[in-house]
Amino acid sequence: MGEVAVPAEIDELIERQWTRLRRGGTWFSAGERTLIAASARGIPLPDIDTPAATAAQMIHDEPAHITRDWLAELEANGLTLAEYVEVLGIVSQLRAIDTFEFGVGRPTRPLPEPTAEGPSPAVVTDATINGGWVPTVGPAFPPSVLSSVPAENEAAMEDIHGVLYLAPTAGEGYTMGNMTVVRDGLSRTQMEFVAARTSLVNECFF
Amino acid sequence: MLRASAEANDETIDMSGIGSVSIDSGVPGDRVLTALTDAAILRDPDEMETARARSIEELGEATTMRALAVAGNFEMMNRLLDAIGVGPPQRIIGIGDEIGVPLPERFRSQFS
Repeated sequence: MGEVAVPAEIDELIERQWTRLRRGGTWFSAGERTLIAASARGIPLPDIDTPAATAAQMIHDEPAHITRDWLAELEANGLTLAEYVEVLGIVSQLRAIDTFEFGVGRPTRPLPEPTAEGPSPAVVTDATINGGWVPTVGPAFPPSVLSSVPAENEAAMEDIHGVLYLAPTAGEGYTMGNMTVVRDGLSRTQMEFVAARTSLVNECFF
Repeated sequence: MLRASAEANDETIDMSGIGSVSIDSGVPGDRVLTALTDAAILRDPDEMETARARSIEELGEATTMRALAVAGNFEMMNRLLDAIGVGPPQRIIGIGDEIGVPLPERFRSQFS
């Protein structure tokens, strides 16, 4: 059996993600972003022993084993919490795409060639430590995890989340507020079963 | 959300079926969805091919694709929460016992 047919909206999402990855971010240049992605995938690279690379590998491979002490060590080695949030955004989004493409039978998508763009730093002044280990706008909760780096938050929560699963809003259609939604023949209950099983395998108990 | 969606759809489910394939959860296609999800998350190429074929046979190609999309999304969401130390809210702290997988102590101790 070959690759499972993928709807255009998901392929378009993946193209947007690859464009985001190859461009400069908030705290990292385009080149640094693709190196972070490569580290997450376990691609051996010379001179890549940076706190960002360490963070990328851990987030990708063993997220359930991340502790505050481990994060503190990264900070002591020079990684700011804002940078950590951007790494988290890059790696978690990459994992979503990679897992999907592996599942449907596609080969691993090569990482994009980065542009020459540098970072565009932007501090979110109303992000504070509020229930999590990184600053968030409001309490630390699924929709706010990446809120101190808006570009990552938009990519994850306003794009990927809605295209792959459901939009994090109320209302009719493909939204989390719609408890009777069926998407491509998969019922809401089946969706939540897959979500629960994924979380169980990843040892995530939220 | 699984319990809430089942109630909204007038379905009876057994949450312990999430943690054990030998238990019928009451969710249609739960066995093939479990195999599909596990193979994708654990990146097992041999199991993936078999699981995908069985899912397509039982649920159809589009539904299989969507299940994989959901799994991908939660690969992202799990990492977002674990990487910043957000655990389950107190109201669902007993969920681990219900699905047959006890919660790690690091989550229980925050409420003791």
